Amino acid sequence: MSKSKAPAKDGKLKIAIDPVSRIEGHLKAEVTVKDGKVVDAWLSGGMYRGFENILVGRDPRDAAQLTQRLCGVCPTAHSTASCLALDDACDVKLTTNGRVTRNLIFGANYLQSHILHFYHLAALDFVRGPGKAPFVPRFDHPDLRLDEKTNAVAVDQYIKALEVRRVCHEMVALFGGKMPHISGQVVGGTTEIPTKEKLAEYASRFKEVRKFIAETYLPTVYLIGSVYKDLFSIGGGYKNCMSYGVFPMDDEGENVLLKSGVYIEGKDSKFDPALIKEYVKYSWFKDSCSDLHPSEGKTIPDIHKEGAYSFVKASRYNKKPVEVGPLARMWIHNPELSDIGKKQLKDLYGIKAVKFRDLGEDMAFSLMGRHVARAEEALIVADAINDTWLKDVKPGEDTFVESKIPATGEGIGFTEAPRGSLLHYVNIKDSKVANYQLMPATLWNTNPRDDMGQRGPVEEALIGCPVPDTGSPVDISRIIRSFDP
Amino acid sequence: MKKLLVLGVGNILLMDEGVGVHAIQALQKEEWPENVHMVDGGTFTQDIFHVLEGYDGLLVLDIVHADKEPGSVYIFDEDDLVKNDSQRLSLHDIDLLDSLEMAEAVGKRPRMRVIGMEPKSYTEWSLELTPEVQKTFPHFLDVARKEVNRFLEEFKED
Repeated sequence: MSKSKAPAKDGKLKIAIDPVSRIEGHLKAEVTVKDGKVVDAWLSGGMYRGFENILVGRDPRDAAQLTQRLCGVCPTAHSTASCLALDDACDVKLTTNGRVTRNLIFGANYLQSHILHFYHLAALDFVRGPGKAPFVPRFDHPDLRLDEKTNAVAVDQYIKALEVRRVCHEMVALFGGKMPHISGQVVGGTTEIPTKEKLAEYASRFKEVRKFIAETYLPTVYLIGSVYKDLFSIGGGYKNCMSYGVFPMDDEGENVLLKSGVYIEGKDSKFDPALIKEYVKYSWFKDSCSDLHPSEGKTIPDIHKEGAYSFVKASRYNKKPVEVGPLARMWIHNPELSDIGKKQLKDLYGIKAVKFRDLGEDMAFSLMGRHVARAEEALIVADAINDTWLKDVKPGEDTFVESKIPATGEGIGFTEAPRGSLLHYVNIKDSKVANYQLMPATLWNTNPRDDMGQRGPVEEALIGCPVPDTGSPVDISRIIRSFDP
Repeated sequence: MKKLLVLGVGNILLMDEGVGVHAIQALQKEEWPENVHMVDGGTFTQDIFHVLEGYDGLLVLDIVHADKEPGSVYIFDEDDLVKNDSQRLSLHDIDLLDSLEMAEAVGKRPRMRVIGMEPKSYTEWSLELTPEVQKTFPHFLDVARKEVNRFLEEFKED
């Protein structure tokens, strides 16, 4: 991690952290600090991917395989969104068993992703590890507050979590294929029939994972949060959020496990796909790619564009920046909190809360609020695996419906990756991909300014972040990582 | 019986970046004792450390920058890498030493050596190696075979 400091000007100091992400992707953060606080921020995604252009002219079915390579952590989410877009384009309706098996695959991936995020990406900013990789390199004054005993327990959990993630990967592999290139999700369903034996393998592994989430991960997040209570009051940002909804609970697509919706300036509304657009005034893409719905989307790079500072397009809902991810989903769905959550909020925080929104807007939309939301969500997904999907799946029954790629057509797939709202759009001509557009979750959060000049959600969340020591801007990294970039 | 893992890593879509994988594919066609396992590590995610568990020796085949002529072949042991911080940046994001630390944390870690090839190009799209690297590729394989045998000899002595 490199830090660079520009000389002070008008009492302002510019700091850059590059790279700020621990794995995958290449994200740089630049902030201006004045009087010990961040007053402006720029987030730059430095890598051109171009998957949209790679897919043009190919068999549409390739998209579900190729787009997985966007990310070694969330290939399952891309495969899910891509298959949903292809299901739509091919007008194919999944069987119950196909739908449920997809949930079993994607659900297991959710669990590994949330555990990875907290323990292996974010916790390093809260826990003092052994003085070797991956705990170092780190900032000189890392603000680590856990007492020795709690810290030692957290390091043990870090190691245990490595194993639990492997078990989650094995659950995915039983029906989806081996991570990080799962091949078992296809248009029309899945390729693997869930036999009795395989379901038994899945269920026995799942038991261990659920136990870890309920008895270790969830209470630890609340415990660490109670030591860093001030982090519940920074990193809030716009307090606007959105969820497409995820995990279909019936074949008609009417019920989902985590519902869809939009929350802007304190008001809830129904999600309307027509209101999504992307803007590129400050992105390294041709201006003709701006102000477009993904169904008309274009991806034409323009790397010398004046004023641009990122390869991320600015995604907007009804022209507003919205946060996506576990916090957005928990805020919109507003589930009842876990028993352990309710108890610890009362014991450690003196807060009486039953549902997620009882935390209040200010506490929920915060650096630490995001970690709490993610942990609570992990248990909801685990309980759906246990109480619903493992009961609904029919051992030995087919999971696949045949379909034909149409000569012309289009399809759109909305899902929620563990890190937030994910959209794939496909347009087919001569049975080949004519246009493919992707709107990944992280980009909804880490985008730059839009054509109207509004900062992206993470940029806005950094405003006001205290930086007592410009040589160790630890809370800046913590805020960015709370989003799971 | 002590076991050796030979791990070829790299991205075969990016010319010389894939030399480790090309090498492992060639070596997999040869006969080896049953305690030598050849594995294609691909682009090396943070999850690869589980593959390292339970081995006594690890031989990694990859590209390495050391500013010599493209096609030059190097051998490093772990100390060379630990002592040299500038070696600790990998195209594969999570580096080998991180993975070895993780393998140690969950159990035991193997002793590692790296055979590296100086690349000519590793940012252009092609499944082919550059002519410079192709020329010394047979030598790279020879060095790998020798190192496998060195590990096997050391296993006997341990």
